[in-house]
Amino acid sequence: MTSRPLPTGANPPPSDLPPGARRSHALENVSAYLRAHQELQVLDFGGINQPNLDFVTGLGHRIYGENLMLAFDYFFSQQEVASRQFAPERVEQFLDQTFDFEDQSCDAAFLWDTLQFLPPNIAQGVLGRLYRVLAPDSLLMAFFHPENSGPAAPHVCRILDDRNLQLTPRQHVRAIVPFSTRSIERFFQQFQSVKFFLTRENLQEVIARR
Amino acid sequence: MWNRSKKDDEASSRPATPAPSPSDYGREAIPTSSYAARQSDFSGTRAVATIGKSLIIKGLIRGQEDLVIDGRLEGDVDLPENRLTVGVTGHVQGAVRAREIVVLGSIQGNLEASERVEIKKNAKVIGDLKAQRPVIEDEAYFKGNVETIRIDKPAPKPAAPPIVVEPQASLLPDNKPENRKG
Repeated sequence: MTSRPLPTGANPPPSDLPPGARRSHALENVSAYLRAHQELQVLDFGGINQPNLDFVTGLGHRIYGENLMLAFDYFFSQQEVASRQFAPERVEQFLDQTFDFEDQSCDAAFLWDTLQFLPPNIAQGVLGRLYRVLAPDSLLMAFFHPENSGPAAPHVCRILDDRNLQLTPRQHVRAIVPFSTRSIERFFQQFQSVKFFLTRENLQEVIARR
Repeated sequence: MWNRSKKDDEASSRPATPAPSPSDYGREAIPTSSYAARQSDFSGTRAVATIGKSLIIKGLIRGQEDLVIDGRLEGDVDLPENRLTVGVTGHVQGAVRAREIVVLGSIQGNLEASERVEIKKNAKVIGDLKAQRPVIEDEAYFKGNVETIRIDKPAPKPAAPPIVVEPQASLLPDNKPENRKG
């Protein structure tokens, strides 16, 4: 296993970082993993953006992009969303359509803060499918906001370099599902290990190892 | 005026066209065709074909000119040396291969470009993307895999060994027959 050298300007000085940028210990862990391996299949469920695409493909990996929240909005009717009644077969159909990968064929997943903006049973289903498509020892990264409940803005997360992220609130707010540290642990109980990093803004950064 | 040269002053004092002499009035004007000039204009620009927004086409498109799709295409596009633009009203359902692909409308199918793929704001692409330079703007919807084509720089050629010219024995002064000592 050989680690890749940092590209020129991989970690610019803090003065060069755009507003909203901050250091992410979880990202540092994932970056080290991405640099240590070659030709990985990386999943980005926050809706792909150019910095993430450049970062991942720049390391020689493939990136699959999908906006999980938008996929959910397209698939389920307003009636289903309003009543919060999701028939099991409809949920299965949504998951089949969204996670069209062979078992254990993917190596890393960025979920960002999407899980918190999906109804709990859908989020649990998403995690179950991710467990299936991720290869053993692969990493999953997710964020959990400190908000208790009510509407909140999901964030666009851009990877600036190996350790810095830019988080920008999206225009439209959505219902947020509260998660405590204990509930996050339970949520990821299938996974081999779960690491928590609490940021200054009380954002829980989570890395789960499959 | 600033740094106005004498030459400029002379030019501005001169009328743009010389005033016609009385004999010129009787002469018939000869119309000059602009055809030759237009022809050279066309040869200087790239040919672009367009599928208008009311058109629906089913089948394969293959060719050697740039193409703009504002209508609907159900089929593949193969323009290996050219650019494909899918306009805001354009929709393609099929695989696309081109030198450059610019999407403002929607594509459902895999994209492969030897150079650049640009998915603009509000465009929608569902399919895998393979290009040397993929660009996805914010607020574009993309679902699929992205793979970049790496153009490996040619390895620097090893320095050529110095050319050593060995003079032919017969050309050496001492070997010349007339210089030989008997």
